[in-house]
Amino acid sequence: MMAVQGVGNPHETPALAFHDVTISFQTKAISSPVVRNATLTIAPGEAMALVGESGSGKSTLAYAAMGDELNGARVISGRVEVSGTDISTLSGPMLQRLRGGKVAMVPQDPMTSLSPSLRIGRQLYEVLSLHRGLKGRPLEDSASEALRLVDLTDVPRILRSYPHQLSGGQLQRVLLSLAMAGQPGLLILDEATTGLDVTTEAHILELVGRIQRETRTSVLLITHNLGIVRRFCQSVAVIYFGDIVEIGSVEAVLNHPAHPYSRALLDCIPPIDSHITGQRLPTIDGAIPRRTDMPAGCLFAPRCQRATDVCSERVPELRTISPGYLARCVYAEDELASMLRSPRDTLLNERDSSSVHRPIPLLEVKDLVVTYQSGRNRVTAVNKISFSCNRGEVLGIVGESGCGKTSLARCIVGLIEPKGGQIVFDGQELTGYGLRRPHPLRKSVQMVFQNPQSSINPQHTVEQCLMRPLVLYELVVRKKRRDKVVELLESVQLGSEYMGRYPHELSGGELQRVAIARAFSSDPDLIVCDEPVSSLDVSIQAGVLNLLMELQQKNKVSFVFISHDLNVVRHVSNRITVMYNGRICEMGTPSELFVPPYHPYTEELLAAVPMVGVRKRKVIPTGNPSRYTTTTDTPCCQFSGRCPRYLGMICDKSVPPDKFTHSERHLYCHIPLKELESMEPVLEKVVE
Amino acid sequence: MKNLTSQQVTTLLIGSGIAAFFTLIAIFGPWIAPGDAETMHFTHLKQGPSSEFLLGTDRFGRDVLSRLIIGTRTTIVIAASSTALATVLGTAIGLISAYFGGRVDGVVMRLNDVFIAFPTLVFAMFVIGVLGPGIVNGILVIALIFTSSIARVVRSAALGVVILEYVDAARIRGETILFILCKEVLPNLYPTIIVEVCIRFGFAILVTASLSYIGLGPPPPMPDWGTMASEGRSLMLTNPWPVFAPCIAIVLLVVGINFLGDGLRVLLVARRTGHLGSTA
Repeated sequence: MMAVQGVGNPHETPALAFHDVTISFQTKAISSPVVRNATLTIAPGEAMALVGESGSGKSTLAYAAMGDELNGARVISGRVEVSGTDISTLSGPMLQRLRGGKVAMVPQDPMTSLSPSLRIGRQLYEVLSLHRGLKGRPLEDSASEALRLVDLTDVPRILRSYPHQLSGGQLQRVLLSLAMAGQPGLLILDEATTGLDVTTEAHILELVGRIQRETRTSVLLITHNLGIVRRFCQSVAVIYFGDIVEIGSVEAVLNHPAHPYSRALLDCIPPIDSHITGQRLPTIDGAIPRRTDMPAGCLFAPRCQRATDVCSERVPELRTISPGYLARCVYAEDELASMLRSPRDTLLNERDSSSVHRPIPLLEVKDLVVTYQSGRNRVTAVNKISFSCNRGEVLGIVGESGCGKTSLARCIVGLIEPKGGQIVFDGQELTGYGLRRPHPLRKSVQMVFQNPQSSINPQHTVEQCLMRPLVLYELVVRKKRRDKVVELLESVQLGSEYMGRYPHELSGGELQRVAIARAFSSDPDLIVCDEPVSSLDVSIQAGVLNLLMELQQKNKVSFVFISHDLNVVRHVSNRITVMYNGRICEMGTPSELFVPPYHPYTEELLAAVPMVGVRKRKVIPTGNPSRYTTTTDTPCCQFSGRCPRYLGMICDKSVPPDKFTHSERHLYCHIPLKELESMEPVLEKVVE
Repeated sequence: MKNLTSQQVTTLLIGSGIAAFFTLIAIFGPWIAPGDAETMHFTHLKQGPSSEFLLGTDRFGRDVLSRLIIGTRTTIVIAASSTALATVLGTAIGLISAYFGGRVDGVVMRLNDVFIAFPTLVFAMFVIGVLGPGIVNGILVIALIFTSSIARVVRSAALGVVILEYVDAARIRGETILFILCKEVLPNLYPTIIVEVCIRFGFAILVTASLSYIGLGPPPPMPDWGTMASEGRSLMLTNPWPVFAPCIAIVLLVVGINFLGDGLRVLLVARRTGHLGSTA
């Protein structure tokens, strides 16, 4: 047997081994393979990442490792071994012992993975008694211990809680403790942290890393996020449409990928270094092929820039490039040799604050307060926020879920009514909301939503969807409306053949393009983008971001760009606002924000965000997320409960002052500016 | 159609076939019927099927087949118009309740609860007692009874739609509430509404029969299926045809309408979402 990765002792029995495994959907007539000829091994104590776009077969592979069939996809050839045991030879009860006992999985969505009607304790006891045969007192003790292992505090309360009473981060920890309860040799994380905030994600991955090192548990981490791969794994397998295209150590694959697909994926990530912003992101042309229409040769060939006739004729072998490093590409050596990254085209203008000549404020938000009723409590989602967005400017707003950024967005576009404060748009105060806003203003403020599937009515064709604003605002004479729709479609790189299609016939990326076309159709002055690319795959994200920014520059529109992804916000924004718990922590240009002085929260965010191509400072102080405080109306620093640089009573008792008097830069903190300035930078660019 | 399985196409065809059959009878009944529905043949009381009377005669010697055919119109008119009225009212109430939520929703839905809790026939007897019996009043009563249940179904389906971003997008555009409800929300509810309408249509026929049974239906001697069944009930053991014939007709029509509804729903869902929903 060949030891593929450079980690671990090759003579040790691997925790997981796939030998030439093909997994396929079997229906009466046809069998369509989901995973083809997969070969990989994970040594004890090794953490391997499995990276690929949605639909590439990542989860199918993971389910096969547990002897399970995802959506009825079965292993039709090859061998899956867990700690040296071929799992196809195992019978029902033995398989049951394998699952949870030897291989355990932490699924993506904690809300649907825990039974909502059973207390956490009950669910934990079940696993412990099943796999460890515990009863009574020892059972309760090891349950508490299992929860403490995953850094949960207030264990007795959590044992008594129902899933809905816990936060997403807490639930994911509970799932992790459930998975670890059977002391498995292999832990599979199936996008386990994808739905979480970056800081929570960082905490949980750190925890998994610790458990992995302490107990020599192997980890298979399924993700589409290359940033967390670098930080957390030793080896990585890249999977494209069911084929493992590249497998090797993290350093090898992420620093100089040998397969064009891996390189393209890496290039799609917005770069963190400050000189490259304002440039187009490279994209991967085309889309994943349809299962009914498989290319004869290399599956990636139709989208590959390097592809030649050879590629489309025969399927390339997964072959050894260097010891422990395999790639499925005829031109792997050439790809390695051309270490230069493909050059990035520049956009029309260099994006910088200076490109916005003579800032004219378009949107001014003053002391805005948004509250909503949650049961009997009133929650303050936005707490006296003030900022302005200039004409033609992209203002990024970044923060964790629940920080109030979506409430802020909904308030600006007039979906909810503010409790206090002012919104001034183009010199005119916006009072009331929705229909009560004056007609021209409705036209000039538009929104792009996070989820393209639910932001376009499934009952309307693309044409109807784009036509409506033209009719409503009477922008174009009746005869020219159709032409205008075609023009709009072309502006988002879709052809007129999309006119008669219904949303279900479009992919997520295409739908988001239609949504963008709709937002631009009324020729607005301001578009609020609420996480416009978060639900899209990385390769599609890059294309949509390019498009958004191109249209923004062409039409001189202002954007309020909301995202939890610091990389994306960094890439698009002229200025960034960091929000925490309904308040602004810090505001400034990207280049100001990414170097000290940092707000302690910005520092934590920067440290937590997974990035490719940068080295991070080793020691980063982190606060304890369980000290998280809910928003209160009493004057205090909202971040004080979690702040690793907490000063004392002053943070709890008074609103922090702005460290800058300069109107465009703000930093609200009690710590003296001198001290903040002397912080060590978090990021350091890797020189390639 | 191409997205449907052959079973679904069959369902749709059978459903529309049955519906068309009864509609034709309702329209052309007087010309199709072999005899007069109200003529009493005193020499042929309580007879079984014969060549002269294909479905026999009832206790007054009236031709069951002719009564059945003539009664189709009354029955379908009452059931269809009451269901239509209830659908329009119920959909409007349900949409408004779901869209505005909060206090509006609370008040409307509590009223609705009161309505549903009230025994149907007691309510019907009360209203008809005040307004007097007759086809129009019968339609009104049945429509009122069904409005609340349709409103409830529409509301719960609409609740899942009004929170979606395309409704937000319409509000940001500054669309009127009428436009949002009719053009953005309503089309997404058609599959649900169709199923509900078909169920209500079936019940409407049964309620008409119940009303006729307690004497609050269309005034005699005008035949309708419910009245026929209730009239023949006391002699059912010796003379089953006057009861069986309308009962079989009711079952056939109700099943047919439900087939049709199911087929239409699948057709709608398939066209707009690309996959076949198993339930509404």
